Amino acid sequence: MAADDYPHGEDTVEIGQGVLRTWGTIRGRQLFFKTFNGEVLELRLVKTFSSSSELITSDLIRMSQGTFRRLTGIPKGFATDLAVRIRNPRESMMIAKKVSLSLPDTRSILKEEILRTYDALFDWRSGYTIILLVGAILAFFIFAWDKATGLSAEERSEIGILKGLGWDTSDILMMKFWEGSVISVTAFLMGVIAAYVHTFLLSAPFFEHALKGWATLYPDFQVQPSVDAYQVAVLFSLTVLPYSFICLIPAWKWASSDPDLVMRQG
Amino acid sequence: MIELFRVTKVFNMGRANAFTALKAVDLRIDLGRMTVFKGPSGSGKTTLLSIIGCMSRPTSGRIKLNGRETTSLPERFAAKIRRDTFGFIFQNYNLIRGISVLENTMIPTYPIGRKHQQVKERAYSLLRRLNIESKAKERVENLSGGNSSGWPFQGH
Repeated sequence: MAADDYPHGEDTVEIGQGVLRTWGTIRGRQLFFKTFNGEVLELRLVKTFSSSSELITSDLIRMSQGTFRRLTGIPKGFATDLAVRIRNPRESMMIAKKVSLSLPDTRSILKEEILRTYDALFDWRSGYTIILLVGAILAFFIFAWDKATGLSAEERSEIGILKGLGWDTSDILMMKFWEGSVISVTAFLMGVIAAYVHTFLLSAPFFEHALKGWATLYPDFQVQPSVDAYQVAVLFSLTVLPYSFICLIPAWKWASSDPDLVMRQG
Repeated sequence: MIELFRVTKVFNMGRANAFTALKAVDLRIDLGRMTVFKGPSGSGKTTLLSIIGCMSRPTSGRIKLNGRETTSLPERFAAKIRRDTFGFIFQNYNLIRGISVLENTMIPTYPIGRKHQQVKERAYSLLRRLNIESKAKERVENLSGGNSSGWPFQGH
């Protein structure tokens, strides 16, 4: 039930985009509701919630308290829900117990319980991201580990040839550093661009259902473009920098050997 | 002039599979002469060439190049000698796969930091002399054996 500060007066209504789509054609901004006793109640549409808030307002209908009572037949003095404000929040549990004892047919719900419910309802969706993130981190570490633990025969032979041609250890390390940097920066940029395109241009088709939920009235899912530079910088420093340096470990081992030895083993 | 004094090379020293490839070799090679090493497979010809060309270090003994000791030069100076003084043609060519004929020719000059255009022109002139300029843009793995063996590794 709306608060007393509903601004548009009696016989008016505000609705979400999902309700509007489900309703179909609306003539002259008039909406017809069926009341509790079967009569028709004509309400004037004064506002539709913006599509940017559709994730939470898609199936929302808002009206004044008086209009709601006429629609549902709930007489004055009765309510579906009562909100009780308590000055000292530490007493809320005790007061809830007292309310339940004095009014046994009511159900007291604390604000903390509502928040917990919302957490349970929405937070699990971040699990998707965590699982994907764990998979991506694992793949990165396997790849980096593979790179750090050894070079292929061809790479070893290449180092031997370069040393034989007059490159010294620092030249080879510098080349390997740039090689690793180019690979990791390119991969990083491709990943960031692909993520941007997937999320903001294609409306995240892989996560769409998980993020918008499984409602009766599906909202249009348009994520507003927003890139957190801090997060990008953290991701950069956790992937590009380690990879660039990891590439140097096996290269350093082989580059500091005699070229003859490197070429024989390569 | 190249001089070797009691040069010995032992591979895998201190291990059960230790192998002496060269044993107290004394050698003097004068300037302006062609010298050929011959011997059966495994007799140490490649090892000797590697040691002379600063590609590996002897286990013991001394090497002099034009009167200058090169036996235990720091790696940077050994690399400079390899770059400036010696040229090797390997049995298996030792070209770097995945890059072009032209890039393979230019590779030795990269650490010197010469101008790219200058190096490129010099590489083209070498390829022209060997009549393989038309192959400059081709990848080395596409070359025939004959083309690979006529390789012009640039010197300083």
